[in-house]
Order: sequence, then structure tokens, then C-alpha cells
Amino acid sequence: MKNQRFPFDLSDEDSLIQIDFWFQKDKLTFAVDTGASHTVIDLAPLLIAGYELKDALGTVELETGKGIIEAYIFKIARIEALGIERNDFEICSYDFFSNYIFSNFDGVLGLDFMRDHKICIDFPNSVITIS
Amino acid sequence: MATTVVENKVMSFDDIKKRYPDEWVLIGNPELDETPVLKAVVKKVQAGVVLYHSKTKMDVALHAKEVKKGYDYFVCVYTGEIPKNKRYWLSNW
Repeated sequence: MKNQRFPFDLSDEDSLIQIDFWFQKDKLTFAVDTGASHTVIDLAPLLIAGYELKDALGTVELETGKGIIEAYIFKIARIEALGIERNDFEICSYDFFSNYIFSNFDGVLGLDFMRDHKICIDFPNSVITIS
Repeated sequence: MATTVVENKVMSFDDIKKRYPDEWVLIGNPELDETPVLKAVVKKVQAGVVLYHSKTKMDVALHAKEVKKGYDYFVCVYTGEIPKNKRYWLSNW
């Protein structure tokens, strides 16, 4: 795989690195979180894409900054971010709003998504390089 | 109270923000700024058809199935300002 460069926009010092996340055909916004073991998606965009709670494979305890919450696990046919495509990817999901997350991002890109790749976040130049 | 938008009219995102202030809107077949810079989708939306709007994102999600027919892809974005001066600790492990 050739190196791929993705410029990002950190509009102010409080910003997260927010990236395009293709969830089947819908474009979502995910925050890059190298401190998260797993990729997590808000329940709302999952439902908008046509998934239902009965599609969940099960639940898992998720430890967050707000404490332990119960999250659903879904198997997603296709997702893509930073030029990396995953098929039949297991992703955790819970309702962000009812857990006090009110933001523009729809999910968090965790290490399980990134771990097969070399990822460099170049802050001075605002570029992520994937190889 | 949320209402389903029945007029399938393409609106600019500026007009959508004026018409549905401080709401979550489900936009069908949105026109997006395709410049290759990673940023929130809400900063990329230029126009589209509002299919549903509500004060809560979950309400939009629960009604999406009823209004999506005839559209290929969607974004759900907030038309107001996300509160500033926030710090994030997102990690799970």
C-alpha cells in the first residue's frame, strides 16, 4: 500500500481531529482517538443507516470518562476511513446524547481500526499519513 | 415538535440553518464540499433536501426509515452551535 496523506483541519486548540467516516453509503464524522481500544459509533447514525437493535450481536461493558456503560456490538458490512476499508467489522454502539455527549462527531476511531497500519499524525503540518 | 418535511426541495445549508435553527436535520443526497481536507461533515454540507428535523438526533434516527425512500445517502447534522469551551476525554478501553 502506497503512503496516503490526509490533511486535517484543527480549527482551534480545543478541536479534535475529525475525519470522514464512510458508513456504508453515508458520510459521518469520527474523532481520532489513539487512546481508545475500540471504535465506537453513536446509536443514532446506526439506526439512520437501517440497523435495528435486534441486529446487535450482544452487549459489552464500555469504560468511558463517565464511567462504565453498556454498549451494543454490531457487525457492519462495510466501513471506510483514512483510505482503510473494513468489511464485517464489529463496532460498539451506544446513545451518545443520553450519555451526555453532544457534539458534531458521530463516533470515535479506535485502535482496533488502525492496528494493521502505520499511522503518523503530523501536527505541525496538520497531516495524517497512512502506510 | 418535529415534523416530516414533505416538500422535496433542495435547499442551501445556509437556508436550512435559518429555517430549522438549533435542530438536527436529516439531509438526503447532500451536496458536500469534496476538497480533501478532513473536517466535520457539518462543515462540508453545502445543500440538500431536508427529510426530517427534530430537537434530538435520536428522534431523527427513529423516523429515518419512514422518510429515506428515494434517496441514496444521508447526513444528519446539527444546525446550531455546539457549545464552545469544551474539553474531550473520549477514550474507552
